Amino acid sequence: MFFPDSFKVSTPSDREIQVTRDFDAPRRLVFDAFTKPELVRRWLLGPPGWTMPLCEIDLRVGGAYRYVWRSEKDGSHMAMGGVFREVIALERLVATEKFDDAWYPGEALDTTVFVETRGITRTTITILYESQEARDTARRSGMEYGMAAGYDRLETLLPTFIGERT
Amino acid sequence: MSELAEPFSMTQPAVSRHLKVLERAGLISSGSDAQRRPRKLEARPLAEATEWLERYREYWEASFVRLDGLLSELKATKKKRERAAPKKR
Repeated sequence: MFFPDSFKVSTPSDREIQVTRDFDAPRRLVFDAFTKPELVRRWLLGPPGWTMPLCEIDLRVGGAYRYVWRSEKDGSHMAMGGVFREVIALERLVATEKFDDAWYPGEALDTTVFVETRGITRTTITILYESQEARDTARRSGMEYGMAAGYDRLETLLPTFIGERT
Repeated sequence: MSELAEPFSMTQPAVSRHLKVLERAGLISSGSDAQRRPRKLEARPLAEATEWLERYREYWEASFVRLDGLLSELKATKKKRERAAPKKR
């Protein structure tokens, strides 16, 4: 079973964006999917038409991670990375986040929390920006990258998704 | 302003403060004639604000649908492995 309706995006404060979603899997698997490069590369693909040729994660406090996305259409790249500030296996991750060609000031702080209830894992990602302006600029311009085609991909995925549900 | 304040159980100075905040944020503008200062809702910045949130939503939504697929695959592999090599008692 999938829980697409559990998906929520909110702005708990001027500087934050929060994303919540339930997954029908034990916490161990969800945590792996967020922290093992070979798994992250399969779902965190960015806008449609992009792949993730590089994904490195050194999962320990002070360890770095780096993601690079590539557009298959025109070969352009987009990259971001940061450093882990807190790593509590299966429960909680705190890491800095900064894009290479950052179009907003400063770095952001990402907190990801995994809570399992009867085999379902609620995942909450909170991104804290340095200012409200940074948050709004980051998301406005960043998402314009390829989001116009966002619906296309959703539509190609939906039949599979509905098929799996029955 | 007294018209705007009418539906709320709020003092006029409080309403005035709220209006000032909204005006500073560019969400309303105020006109003026001799007797009154009618406020106008500026919908565009509000629409822009919800639009970027909506785009953000789409981005994550698509990623999470892929993650759903990956997780059910991982669960299936795990089950298969457990069946192939049952735990010794």
